[in-house]
Amino acid sequence: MLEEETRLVKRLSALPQTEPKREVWSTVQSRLAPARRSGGAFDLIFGTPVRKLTAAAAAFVIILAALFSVAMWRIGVSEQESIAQAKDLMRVQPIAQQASTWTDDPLAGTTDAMLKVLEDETRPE
Amino acid sequence: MTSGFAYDFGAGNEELLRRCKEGDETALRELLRRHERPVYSLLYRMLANHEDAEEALADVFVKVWRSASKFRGDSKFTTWLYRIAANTARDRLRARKARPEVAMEDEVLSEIATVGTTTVDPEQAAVDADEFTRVEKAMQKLSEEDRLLVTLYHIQESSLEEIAEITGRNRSNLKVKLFRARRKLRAHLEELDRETSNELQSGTTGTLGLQSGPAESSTG
Repeated sequence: MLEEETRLVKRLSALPQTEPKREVWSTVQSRLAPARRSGGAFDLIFGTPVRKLTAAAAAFVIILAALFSVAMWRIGVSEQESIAQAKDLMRVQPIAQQASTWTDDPLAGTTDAMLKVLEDETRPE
Repeated sequence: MTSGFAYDFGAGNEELLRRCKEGDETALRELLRRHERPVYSLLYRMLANHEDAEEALADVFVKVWRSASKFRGDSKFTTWLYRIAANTARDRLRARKARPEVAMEDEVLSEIATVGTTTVDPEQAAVDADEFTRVEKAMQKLSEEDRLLVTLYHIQESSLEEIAEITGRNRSNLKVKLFRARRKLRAHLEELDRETSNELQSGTTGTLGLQSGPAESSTG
């Protein structure tokens, strides 16, 4: 068993290092390009896929917020219009209220005449 | 080697990494020059494919460039570098799992196997190449983790402490895992050796490109 292990270890140790068939530096260098802009806003936003996703999410939220603000502004405008319309309607109603003015004589002058008639009927002659 | 690039034999790995942090690309190029072969060997044994290994090699050194500020010096530079390489290989293998396994070509293996050999005798070189091919084939039959352990320990000659750091495993578990990996490797090698010996005896040219051996050669 030990002999087999030793033999195997020798075979493994004899394996040579391999090397790439082509020159790799140019590939490495081309991929360094985006990473060179370290600390800049461009790299911060667009450097890696994670960052791209974050930038896209942030842009989406900003657009959504803008659309929401516009929508709320439009609602506000229409609310103001509704209020103005309501005020117009309210201006009409007081006319009906003005028709009923407070008076001590609700029968408008006919009360005394009616009372006189009643007295005449009830007072025997 | 292109003109305009001067080797920097004096600076240590950590010094070169410090220069990478400052944006010195020549420092990265020097690191690539120094560590290309062992890193590529590791990647090739993990990925079993030239193209993937070359792409992974570029990925590794781009990650070294981008993570230069994260190296704290707690471990050796090579430990940190091999950890990046092992993780890069694992990521590629995971991404590849949905696609069919890429088979290693024997011709390619033989060609790669002769790189780095110092044998001048062409016959010996051919024998060596066959041996290396057989061992590489047997290694490919191991699991991803076993292959990594065997490559790091026996081929890259990393210590158990370094391998524990690279793989994130407990040092005490590694000995057992290595023993088991070697046992499986031995079984695969014995199988391949048996196949080769059967081919030799039957006098046919096998998949490893072997021709009739000395036992079959005609005498005087």
